[in-house]
Amino acid sequence: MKKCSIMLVDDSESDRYLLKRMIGKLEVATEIFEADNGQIALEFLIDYEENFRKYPGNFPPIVIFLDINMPIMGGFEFLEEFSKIRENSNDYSSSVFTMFTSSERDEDKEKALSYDFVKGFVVKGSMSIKSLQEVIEKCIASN
Amino acid sequence: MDSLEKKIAFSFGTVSIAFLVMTIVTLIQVNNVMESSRRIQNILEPSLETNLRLMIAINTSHASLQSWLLFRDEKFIRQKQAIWSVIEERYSQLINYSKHWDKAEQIEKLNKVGQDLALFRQHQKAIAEADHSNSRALAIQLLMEKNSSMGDQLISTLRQISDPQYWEMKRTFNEEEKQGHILKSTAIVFLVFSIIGSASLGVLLVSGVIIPLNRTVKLADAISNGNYSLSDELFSGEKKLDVALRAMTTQLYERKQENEFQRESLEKYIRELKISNEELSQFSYRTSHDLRAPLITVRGLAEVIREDIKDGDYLEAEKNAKNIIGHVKRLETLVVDILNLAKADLEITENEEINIEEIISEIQGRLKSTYIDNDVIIQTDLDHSISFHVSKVRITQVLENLISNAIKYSDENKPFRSIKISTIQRDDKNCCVVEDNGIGIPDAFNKRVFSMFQRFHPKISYGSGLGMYIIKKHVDKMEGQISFTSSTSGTKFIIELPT
Repeated sequence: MKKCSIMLVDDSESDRYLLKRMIGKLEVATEIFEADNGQIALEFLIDYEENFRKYPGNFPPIVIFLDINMPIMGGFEFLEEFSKIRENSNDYSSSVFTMFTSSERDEDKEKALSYDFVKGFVVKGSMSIKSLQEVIEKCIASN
Repeated sequence: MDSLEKKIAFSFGTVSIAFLVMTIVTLIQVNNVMESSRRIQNILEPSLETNLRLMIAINTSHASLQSWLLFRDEKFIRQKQAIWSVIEERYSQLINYSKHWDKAEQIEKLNKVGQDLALFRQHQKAIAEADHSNSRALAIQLLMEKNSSMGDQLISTLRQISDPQYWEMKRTFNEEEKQGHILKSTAIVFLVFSIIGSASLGVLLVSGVIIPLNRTVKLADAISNGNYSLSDELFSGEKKLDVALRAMTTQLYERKQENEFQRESLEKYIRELKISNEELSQFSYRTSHDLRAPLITVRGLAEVIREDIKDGDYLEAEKNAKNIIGHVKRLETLVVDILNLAKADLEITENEEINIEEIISEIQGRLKSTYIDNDVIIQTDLDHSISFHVSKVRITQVLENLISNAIKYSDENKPFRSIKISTIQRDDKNCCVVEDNGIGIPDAFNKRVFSMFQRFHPKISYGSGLGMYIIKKHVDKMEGQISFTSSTSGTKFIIELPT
C-alpha cells in the first residue's frame, strides 16, 4: 500500500491516540500531524511555505481526518474557511478529507460530502482496521 | 344649516313651496279670466245682441205701420203683426238676461222699456183704430206726432242699457287682455324661478350631498388602505358624515392597533418558541454527542488496554486506564451540569433575604475539595447595607459557577491569582460583581460566552461547556442581567438583580 502523510484534527486526545494506533498498524503514514481544533489545523495548513520546508515531502498532508464537534472552531466552520483558501490556491489540491466523528446524523454526512474535497465519512467506534484501510486507499486513489 | 338632512329638506321644501305658490297664483288668475269671459259670453254678449234686435224690431214695427199708412200694402200689416211677436220674444229674452245683470239702474230701465212698449203698442193700436175709422189723416198725424217719438224714446232707453253694457264688455276685454299679459309674464317669471330653483337645488345637492358623499367614499377608501390620520383636509365637509367617519376610523384604528398588538405578541411568542426550539434541538444534538463521544472513546480505550495486556505493555495499559478515568469523570461533570440546567429551567424557588457572605463561604468549602492545589486568593468587599431578596439556590449556582470558572481559568504566569467578590448599588440596582485576574475571554468569543457548549480553553479545562449557559438561565429566571468585560489581565462579571 502506498504511503502518505496524514493529519488528525480532533479535540479528544484519546480519540487521536486510538486512531494513531490503528494507522500505525497499517503502516501507511509517512508523517502524522495533529491539531486539537479547526483553528489550529487551519493555521498549520495556511503556513504553507514554512511547513513545506519543515516537512519536505509530507506537507501538505494527503489524508486529513476531521472531527465535527470541536471547541473554538468546529469541523464545518473549518471546511467553510478551508474551501475559501482552496479556491484561491492550488497548493492544497492533493489534500483529501475524511470526516471522523461520533455523529451519525444524515444532515452532517450530506453537508460534509457536499465539499468535493471530502471523500469519506467515518463514525467513531464503528471503524475496524480493514475499513480504515479502505478509507485511506480511497482517499489516495482519488488523487 | 350643516347637517345633510337639513340641506336636503331645505332644498326640496323651498322648491316645492315655490311650485305650489306658482300653481295657486296661476289657477286664480286663470279663474278670474274664465269668470269674466263667461260673463261676457253668457250675459253681456247675448244681452247686447237681443237689445239690438229689439231696437231693430221696434224700428221695423214703426216703419211697417208707417208704410201701411202710406202705401196700403197688405204685407206691411202682416209684417207689423209678426214683428210684435218678435218684440215680445226679444223683450222676454232681455228680461231673462237681466236677472244676471248687476246694475239695478239698467233693470229699472228695462222695466220702463216694458211699460213704454205697452204704451207704444197701445198707441199703434189707437193709430190702427183711427185708420179703420177712415180717419187716415188722423192716423198719420198720430203716427208722426207721437208714435215716432215713442219709438225713439224706447230706442234711446234701450241704448242707455246697451251702451254701458257694451263699454263694460269692451273694458272687460281690455282687462282680460291685461290679465293675459300678466299671466304670460307670471308664467315667464315662474319659468325663470323654476330654472333658478332647479339650478340652486342642483347646486345644493351637489355641494351638500354629492361632494360630501364623494369625499366620504374617497376617505373611506383612504381609511381602508390604512390611512388613519384624518387631517383637516381629510374631511367630507359634512358634520354628520365626519362624525361617522371619525367614529369608524377610530374604531378601525383601535382594532388595527389591537390586531397589531396581538400579532406582535404572537410573533414574540413564535420567536421565543423558535429560539427555545432551536436551543432544544441544539441541546439534544450536543448532549447526545457529548454523552456518546466519551463512551465510544472509553470503549476504544478499553479495547486497546486488552491489546496492551495481551502484548504485555502494562505501562501503556496503565496510561489508557487513567485516560478512561478522566473521560468518565468528565462524563460525570456533564451529567451533573445537564441536571443543573434542567433544574435551572424547571426549579420553582422561593425568594428570600440572602446572606452573600454565608453563601460565599459555603461555596469556598465545596470548591476546596475540587480544586485542591490552587493558590487562588478569594477576597470579598461586601456592602452590608444592600439586601438581596432572591432565590438562594439560583444565586448560589451563579456564584459557584463563576468562582469555579475563575479558579479553572486562573493565570499561572501572573505573580498571584485572585478573585474579588463585591456587592454594590448602581443605578438603583443591586449588583454582585465577580472579578478575577485570570487568562480572560478572547474578544472573538464575546458573543458566544452565554451560549450552550462553548469551550474556549479546551487545553486548560475540559468542562461541559454548559456553565455560562446555566448562569445565564439562572440570572434570567431571577429577572436580572449579567454582563462582563474581559482582557488578558482578567475578567469582571456584573450581575444586576432586581431590588
